[in-house]
Amino acid sequence: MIPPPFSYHLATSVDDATQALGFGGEDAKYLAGGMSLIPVLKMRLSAPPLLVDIGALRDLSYVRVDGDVVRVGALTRHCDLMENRALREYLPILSDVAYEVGDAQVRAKPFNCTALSSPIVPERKMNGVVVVNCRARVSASRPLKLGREKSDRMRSNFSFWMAARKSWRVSTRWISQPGHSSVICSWINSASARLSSRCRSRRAAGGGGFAELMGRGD
Amino acid sequence: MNVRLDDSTAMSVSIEINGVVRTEAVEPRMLLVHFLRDRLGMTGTHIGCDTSQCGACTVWLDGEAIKSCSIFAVQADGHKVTTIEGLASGQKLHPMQEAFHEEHALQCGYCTPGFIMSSVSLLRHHPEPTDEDLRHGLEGNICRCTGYVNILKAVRRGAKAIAEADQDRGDLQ
Repeated sequence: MIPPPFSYHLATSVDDATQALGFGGEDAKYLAGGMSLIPVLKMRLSAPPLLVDIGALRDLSYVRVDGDVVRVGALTRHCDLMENRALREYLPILSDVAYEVGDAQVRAKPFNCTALSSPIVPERKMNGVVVVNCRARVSASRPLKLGREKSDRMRSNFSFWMAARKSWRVSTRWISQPGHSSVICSWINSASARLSSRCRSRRAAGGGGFAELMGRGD
Repeated sequence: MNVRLDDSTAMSVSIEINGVVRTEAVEPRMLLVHFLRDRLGMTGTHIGCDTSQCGACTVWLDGEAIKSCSIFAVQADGHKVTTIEGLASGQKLHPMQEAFHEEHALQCGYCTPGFIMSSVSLLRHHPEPTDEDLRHGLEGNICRCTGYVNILKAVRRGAKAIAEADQDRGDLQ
């Protein structure tokens, strides 16, 4: 299968990426690992005029323990979460969930915080994303306008899945501010098939944005 | 900033493939697997499902196993790619290729290049893999013929052979 044609820009910095995305208009998208976006493009479910590749922004790939805060960069790979010693010690649930995501080849690609930035999470690719007492800071080329309806829908999607895992606490708050948005929640398990089908009507798919996660260990 | 909105523009990419730098002009939408097969004629990398489930197209990007049907050639620009063609040394098969042969770990063979690339990559992370390591590590590859039993046998055999080769190399040094 061949994706539709698009223009390509390899971003050299976060500023460069957000500015470049602005050139491409509303439908331009970020490309990080591409594990969600590329299959969507191949199936012609999306045809962005411009892809801004953020894969070379290596400084967005990190796991840092800073006091009682763990910071995970937007381009950190699942396999890095699995194998990170500090994470194993402070937030082992993130390592454990990373182990269950997709398959080895998928885990070797940057994950772009897909569950937060993209409403479509293809079945099988993302078996679970857990965000622990987390705040996600999203870089955007324009203010993210998250109306109450959209925020509520996102929250209900997350809550739906959290409720499905009864052993996990259900608690989310979705805060929208001009210029950036934050998701603050206790546990998120946004998973596969049903989340995907619930969101399929939404236009955006993959390449939605990128975020640094900051989690606090319990 | 130089953002060009012209999707027909071919871009020049230089990718080191099995140790040889190949420079080609490609459309941004060209997938790495098509670059390998159609541009370079390296048809050892197979296309199975084309939707990133089956793993037949697995290659290494900078030493890590990835699915070449889910990455654009432009994303590999400046990087190193290893394909199944890069494993053997001349006529001498890689120990994992040898092990697949010895254990009859294939019937039609379509999935085999992907399995071998994934297996060797897996062993770099788990030199002495447990059964769980093997089953979990290879779940990104699908075989419709063998039932996986012989594949797992082969990977265990390959792991042993690679460990022994490493040991011999260590003894010589």
